[in-house]
Amino acid sequence: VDFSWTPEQQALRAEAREVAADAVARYGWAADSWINGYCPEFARELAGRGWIGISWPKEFGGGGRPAIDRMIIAEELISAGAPVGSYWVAERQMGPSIFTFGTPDQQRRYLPAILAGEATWCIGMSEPGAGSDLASLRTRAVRDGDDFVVNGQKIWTSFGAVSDFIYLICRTSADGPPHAGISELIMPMDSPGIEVRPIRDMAGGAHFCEVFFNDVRVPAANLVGVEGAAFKQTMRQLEHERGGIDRLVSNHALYRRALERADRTDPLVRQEIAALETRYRLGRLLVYREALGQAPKGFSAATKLFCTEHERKVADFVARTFGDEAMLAGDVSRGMCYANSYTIMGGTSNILRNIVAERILGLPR
Amino acid sequence: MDFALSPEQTELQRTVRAFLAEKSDEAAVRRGMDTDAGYDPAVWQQMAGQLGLHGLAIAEEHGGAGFGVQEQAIVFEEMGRAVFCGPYFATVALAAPALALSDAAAEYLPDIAAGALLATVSLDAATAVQSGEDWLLSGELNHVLDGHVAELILVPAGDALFAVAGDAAGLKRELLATVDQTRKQARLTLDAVPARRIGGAAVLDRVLDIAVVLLAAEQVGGASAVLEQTVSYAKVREQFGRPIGSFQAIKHTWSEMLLEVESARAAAQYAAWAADAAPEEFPVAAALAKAHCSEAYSRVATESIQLHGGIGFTWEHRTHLYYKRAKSSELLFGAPAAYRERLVTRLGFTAT
Repeated sequence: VDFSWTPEQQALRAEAREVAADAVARYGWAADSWINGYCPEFARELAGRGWIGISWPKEFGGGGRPAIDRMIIAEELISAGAPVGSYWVAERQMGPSIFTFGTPDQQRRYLPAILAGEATWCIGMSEPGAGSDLASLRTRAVRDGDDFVVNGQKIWTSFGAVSDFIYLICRTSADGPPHAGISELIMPMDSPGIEVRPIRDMAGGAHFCEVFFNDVRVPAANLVGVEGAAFKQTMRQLEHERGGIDRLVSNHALYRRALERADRTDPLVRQEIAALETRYRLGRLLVYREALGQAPKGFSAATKLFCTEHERKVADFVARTFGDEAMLAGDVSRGMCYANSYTIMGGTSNILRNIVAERILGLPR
Repeated sequence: MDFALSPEQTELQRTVRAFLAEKSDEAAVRRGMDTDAGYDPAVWQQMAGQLGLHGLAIAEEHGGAGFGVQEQAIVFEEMGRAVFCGPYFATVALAAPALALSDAAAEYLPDIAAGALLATVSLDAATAVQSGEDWLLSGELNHVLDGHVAELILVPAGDALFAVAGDAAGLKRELLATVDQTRKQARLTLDAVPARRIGGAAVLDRVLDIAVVLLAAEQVGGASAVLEQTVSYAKVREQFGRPIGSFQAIKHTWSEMLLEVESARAAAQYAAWAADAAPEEFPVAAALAKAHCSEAYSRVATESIQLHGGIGFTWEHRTHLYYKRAKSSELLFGAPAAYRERLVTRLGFTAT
C-alpha cells in the first residue's frame, strides 16, 4: 500500500492544473464540464498535447500511459470546470470499445479523429421503455444485404445534437432472453432517416436528446463485436462510465466557490464541510483504485454510487451556502437542479445498489 | 499509488488471522469478557514471542521488528475482526508510541516487545508536585484502558509525561463495568503517587493520532467481519419462502454497508500510510479516519442487529459483541463530531 505520487505524476498534475486554468480563462468555466462544456477548440489543443487517449494502447494511436495518468488529467480539468465535453464520451467509452471489440478497419476509420479531438460521439442506449432495464430495448436493426436497417427511438442521448457518430445499442434478434440479441452499431449522425430532438432538462440545458431512427441504413461492416452478443460489451463500457473521476468532481468548482462564502465560524457549517471533505477524499481513493484496476470486479457500480451521492450533497451545501441567491436563476440554482441527474445517468442509485448487492455481495435475485 | 498489500503484509495478515481464529474465537473472547484481567497470559506470550506482534512497530534497537504504523494497522484490523479481548491496544497502540517518543524508550520498549510489560496511557491529566528528586502525582484519572492490570501507566501532568508503576504506593485502581467487556477500563485515584518524569506531554498529540488510526483499522476489521457474517446469514435465512437477502430493502441497505466498509478501509489505510510516509498529511488523515471509521462500524453493527431480528438482540448471539465494541470505540478518545471539528481545523479552516 502506497498512496504517494511519483514525481512524474506530480508534474503531470501541475501541468494539467495550469492547462485547466488557462482553458477556463479563455473559454469560460462550465459546471459539469464533461457533459456541458462543449468546446472543440479546446479538444484539439488537448489532442495536440497527446492528452486525448493518453492511456489508450500505442498500437491504436494512444499514449500507452497508465490509466492513472488519464485520471490525473481528467481530475484537474473537470475540477476546474474546463470544457472537455466535445471529446469526453468518445475518449472515455467509445474509443476503448472500438479498440477492444472493433475490427481493424473500424479502428483505422474512427480512432484517429477521436484522438485528434475532432469527433464528438454519443451513445444510443436508453429508450422510452428501456431505462434501468436496458436489456428490454426495442430499437431494431434488421439485416438487408450488406446493410442493417434501423428503426426505433433512443432517449436521454447526451450530445445527440452535436455528435458526428452515435454508438448504437440495438436489437438484432428478438429470439431468446432479452439480453441475447443485442448488438452494437456505429452510425454516422448525418445518415438519412435520423431525426434528433433536443430535450430541455430541468436545469434549463439541452445536452440530451431524443433520437429517432426511420429506416436508417448502416453498413453491416459497422457492427462492433459479435452480432447478438453485445450485452457484455455494453456492460463493459458502463464500467468506464461508472468508475471515473468525472462522477465525483462534476460540481467541485462550484464547491470551491461556496467554500469561500461559507460561514466558517458556524459549528454546523464546519461539521458539514468536514463531512464533505471526508467523502471527497474517500471518493478520490475509490476512483484511484478503479483507475489502477485494483478495485474488486464490478465495483465501479459501488464507486459511482458513493461518488454521485456525494455530488448531490455538495450541491445541497452550495445552495444553502449561497442562500437567497440560490432562489434566482444562475450557476448556483442550476447546480442545485442539475445535481438530481448525477444519481440517474449511468445507472440510478437504486439500480446500482441492486447490482452491488447481487454482483459483489452475492445476494440472491 | 498502490492499494495492494505487499507480499510481506499479506503474509502478516494471513498469519494473524489464522492465529486469532484459533486462539481468540468467540468462546475465548467471552471467557476474557468474564474475567477482570481480560486475557489469557499463555496466548499473550505467544502473540509477543511466537508472532512478534507486540514489537512489530517498535524500533529494532529496542527489541522490536522496526515496521511501521501500516503493518501495525494490519494487525489491528485482524484484532477488530476477532473482537480480541486483552490489553493489546493499551500496550501497543497507546503506551508503545508514547514511550517511543519519551526519554524512557530504551528502558521499557524491550519489555513491551517481549510481552513482559503491560502498559497504558491516561489521557486525563494528574497534578504533579516536585519533592526533592521525585515527583508526586495526584488526581482522578478516568477511562484508563486496562489501567487495572497495567504494570506501567503513563500520565500527563502539566507539560510533562510521567511514568507510574502499577503497584505504586497511593495508587487506587478500580475496574469499571464497561458495556464493551472486551476492552476493560479503570478509574485510577492517585494520592501523592511517586512518579518519574519521562518527557514532555506534547507528544501525546501524535500518540493520540497514531492510536486513533490503529483504532480505525480495528473498526474496519470489525465492520468487515460483521458485513461478511450478516450477508452470509441473509443468504440462508428464509422468510416468505425465500432468502431474506433477495429482498430489495436488504440489498439496498447492505450495498450501502459495503460502501461504509470499503470507504472506511480506504480512510484507515490512507491514514496509516500517512503516519509512516506523509507527515504533513497525517494529522488530517488521522482525524478523518477516526470520525469516518467510527461511524461506519457503528452503522454496520447496528444494521446487522436489525437484519438478524430477535436473535440479534440476544446475549447468546455475537452481534452484540461487535455492536458494543463499535459504539464504545466510536466514543473512545472523543466522538466523531470532535474529530470532524479537528479535521476542518487541521485543513486550515480557522473558527474565527
